[in-house]
Amino acid sequence: MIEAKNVTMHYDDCTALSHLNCQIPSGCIYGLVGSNGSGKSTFLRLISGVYRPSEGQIFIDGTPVYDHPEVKQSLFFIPDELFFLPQATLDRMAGFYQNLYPGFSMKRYKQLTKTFGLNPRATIQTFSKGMRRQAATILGLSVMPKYLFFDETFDGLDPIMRNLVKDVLRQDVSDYGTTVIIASHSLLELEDTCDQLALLHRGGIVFESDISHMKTSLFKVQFAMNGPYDESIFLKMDTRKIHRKGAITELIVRGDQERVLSILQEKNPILLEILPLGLEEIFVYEMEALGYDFANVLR
Amino acid sequence: MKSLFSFRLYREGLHRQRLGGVVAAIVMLISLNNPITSLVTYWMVGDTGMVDTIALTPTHLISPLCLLMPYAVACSAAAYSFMLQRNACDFYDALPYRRLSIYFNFLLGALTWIVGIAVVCFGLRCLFYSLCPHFVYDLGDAILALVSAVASCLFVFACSTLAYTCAGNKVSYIAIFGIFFLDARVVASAWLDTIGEVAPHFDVSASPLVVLSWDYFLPWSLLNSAVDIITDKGVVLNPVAISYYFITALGLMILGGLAYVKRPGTTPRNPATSPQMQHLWRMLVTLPFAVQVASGILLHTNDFLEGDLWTFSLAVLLPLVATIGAYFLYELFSAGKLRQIKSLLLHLLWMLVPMVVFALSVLITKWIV
Repeated sequence: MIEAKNVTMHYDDCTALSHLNCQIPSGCIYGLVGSNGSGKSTFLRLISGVYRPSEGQIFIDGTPVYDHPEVKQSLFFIPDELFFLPQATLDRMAGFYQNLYPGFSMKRYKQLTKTFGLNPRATIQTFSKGMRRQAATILGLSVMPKYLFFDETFDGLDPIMRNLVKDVLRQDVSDYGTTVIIASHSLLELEDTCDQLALLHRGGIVFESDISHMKTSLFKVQFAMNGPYDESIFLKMDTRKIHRKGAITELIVRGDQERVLSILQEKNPILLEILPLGLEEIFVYEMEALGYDFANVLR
Repeated sequence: MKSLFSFRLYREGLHRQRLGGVVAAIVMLISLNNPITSLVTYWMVGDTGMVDTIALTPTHLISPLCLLMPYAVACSAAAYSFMLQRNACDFYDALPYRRLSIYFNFLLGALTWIVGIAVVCFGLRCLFYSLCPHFVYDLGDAILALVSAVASCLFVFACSTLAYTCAGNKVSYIAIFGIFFLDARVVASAWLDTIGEVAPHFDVSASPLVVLSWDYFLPWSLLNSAVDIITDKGVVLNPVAISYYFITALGLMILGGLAYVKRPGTTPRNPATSPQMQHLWRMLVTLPFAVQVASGILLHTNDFLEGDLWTFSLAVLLPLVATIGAYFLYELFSAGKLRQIKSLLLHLLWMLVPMVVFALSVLITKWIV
């Protein structure tokens, strides 16, 4: 488990994170979403032990991260700006990591290199942006870490490679219990990959939830009645929004779907259906309930 | 010690030096042409064709080693230049090793190459010359000269390494390297020259500061001796100078390790590790000019009183302009822009401190003597 306790990070001219507290459970794919400058990359660098927090502490499995090599052996960080050893090939980088990480699997490395179709003997400097990100992903997965952190995982990857990376990550979580944290500015990228999502804004986590719970607990209900109806039924539900389009009424409701359906069915509607909400829509409504203008949060 | 040393990291430290090391080794091997040519000539011509015995000076044996000083800077860059790049810094900081361990093992790797090449080159030169009976040399002095060359290289390497740990970009690296390499010498030489004029009966050679003067500047002496082979021992074989530079090199390397451990991970975004350190470097960059102002005032007060303002201006105002110019130029080039002008101007007043300290130390010494 990763635990951040009252973490604050100051730069010379600004505060990137302010009194951030969170717990990230093991064995999940955790998404961190936020606008530019919200603190995602800073948070990843703090939990990777790259930065020391100005205040507070970060623990992985109960041990502080910063300057603790024994903890760092179990994690791997793939940043937004990649770095490889000068003039190195993929094989050279694999040799480097094999030298330094006891859990590095050369078998896995060869398997992944073949799957992704990269030439391990070519200089990484000659790779395109997307290929470099694939190379970093291959190396990170080959280290067999318990915790894997990605900053802008899919930046530069084509749709096929994106799906391949997502499949490999899901497989790792399933087979090895790896905890993956992905930071991105795009909800769409994270929607079908992550189990949990957190929204960072101005240095703090303003919203955090399990995705499946999010999608089932907040939903859209569309119904039409045969004539006027008593609107007091809406008081029996946690209604976030009511929208009327002619005879059809759309509700955004939080709660149990079965219970909401049974309440509406008492009024014998001629049309009643539950429609799932997209992640962005869920975030909009949740943030509005918290008093934020979500459209401005993710700009 | 066990957790500090890692054979894997040390091997990586050796590996990253290999390109520069191979080039340096090739250059050193090429420098063996003199002794090899002499030896081959002796074998071909035989004893009857040779002239009288030639006594080699120690600098004959170590003169190519002065080329290892720029190589030492290259070694430092190969090991530590990652500190100036944000993505490279993140890469190394994310590795499962303590910063001190990374620093120490990369240091060992670099020193292995520098000392190894120096010793092997020196050894081969001695061997080839000794095989030729018409060349004679004092092995003791020669070994002392080798130690002197190694001390110079280690000093240059240490200055460069410490500069990397303190700097955030290339401009500040160059400036901080210059500070560690030259500032002490410039200030000490200015003080000795000034006290020598102000108090002629003061024995400058007896002052402990003389070891910091240009006369005892080992790297410079080594370069000079390589260009103009000297027959007397000179400072290259001075045990005091050699010991000073070894100890100083060791101290700077230790300081470098501590600086790296304390260095914030966000440093590559900035010219220095913190705004306070940036103030310090600005002051130290201007220090050589500032002490000239104090020296000029002390030496040319009479000119001022007698109305010779031209001489006084050259001696005082010119260094003062240079001080202020260097101050702002360093800030401009290292930080990319001049921020917080008011704060910069206020901090400029701190330059009065070394000027006053310099002047007072000269006057007090004069009064005591």
